[in-house]
Amino acid sequence: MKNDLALKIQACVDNELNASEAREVACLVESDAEARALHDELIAIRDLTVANEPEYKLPESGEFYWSKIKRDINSSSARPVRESSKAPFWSAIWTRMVATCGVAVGIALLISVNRQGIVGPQVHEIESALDEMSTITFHSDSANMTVVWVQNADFN
Amino acid sequence: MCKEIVLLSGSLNWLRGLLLLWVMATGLGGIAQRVEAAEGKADWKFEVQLIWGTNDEKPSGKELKEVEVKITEGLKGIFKWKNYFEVTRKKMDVAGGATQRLKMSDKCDVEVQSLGGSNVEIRLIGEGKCVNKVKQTISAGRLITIAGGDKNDTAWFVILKPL
Repeated sequence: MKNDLALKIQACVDNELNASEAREVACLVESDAEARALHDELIAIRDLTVANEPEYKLPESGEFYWSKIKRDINSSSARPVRESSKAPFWSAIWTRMVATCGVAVGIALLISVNRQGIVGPQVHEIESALDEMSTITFHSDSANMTVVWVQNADFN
Repeated sequence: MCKEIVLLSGSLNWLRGLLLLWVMATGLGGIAQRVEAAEGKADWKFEVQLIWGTNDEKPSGKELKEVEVKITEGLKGIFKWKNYFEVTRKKMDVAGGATQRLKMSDKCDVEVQSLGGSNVEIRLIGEGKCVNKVKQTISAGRLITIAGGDKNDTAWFVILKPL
């Protein structure tokens, strides 16, 4: 038997065909022995399945189960809103501002305090009293020394 | 899971607070340090050395001493001379606002005037004349060196070491 015909017979058993198609399949089943055998077999299987399907019982009735859910929904919507902090709204903003300013001030002070160690002591002013003299100044971090080299000064 | 998250956020708040306290304490400490430095030690003690630098060996007949290794290495790292000898070493106390003068050699005097706080003026006097003035901020441990060339390709160094 062709597969298409078998599917049509199956659809007829499942009441999935319209009236004209159902009449066609009925005629085919009456005229064709193979079609009739398939039709009868499918009906037998359908009846057996429906008659022997196990029944699953809920621990509680359906109405009771859904009423419980409905009650939970209603009770959660009626729950009071959690109390907000007693502190005023601006306290959180103030705390953050203080924290940010504190960090910025601390960093700025650390940098300014440490600059002296990095840059070294400042030579404010050098003055050569004699015209023929000039000076060169440099800092040596490796020797931890500030050097003022005086040109053309000769005494010992 | 929710309890762990709540505990963790609480701990983070504590950590933030501690971090903020540490930063502010450090900052305040820095302020105190700056104020102290600005007002500063009015009185300073110095060790002043007159050192001679040369590429030759130590000359006989002259009372020259070895320079401490740290200063020698420091000078070698900056200058070209291989050998350094101490001619004179003296100590000097300079009170706040006062001036002290030391004779380092027949030709060399060193005068230090406290300008208040950590600032001093160092005057190098050669043969009675003020050769050079240096205004300097002092910090403990940092050497101040005034140097110049001498005859026969040698050099002299006046080193002030704040004590």
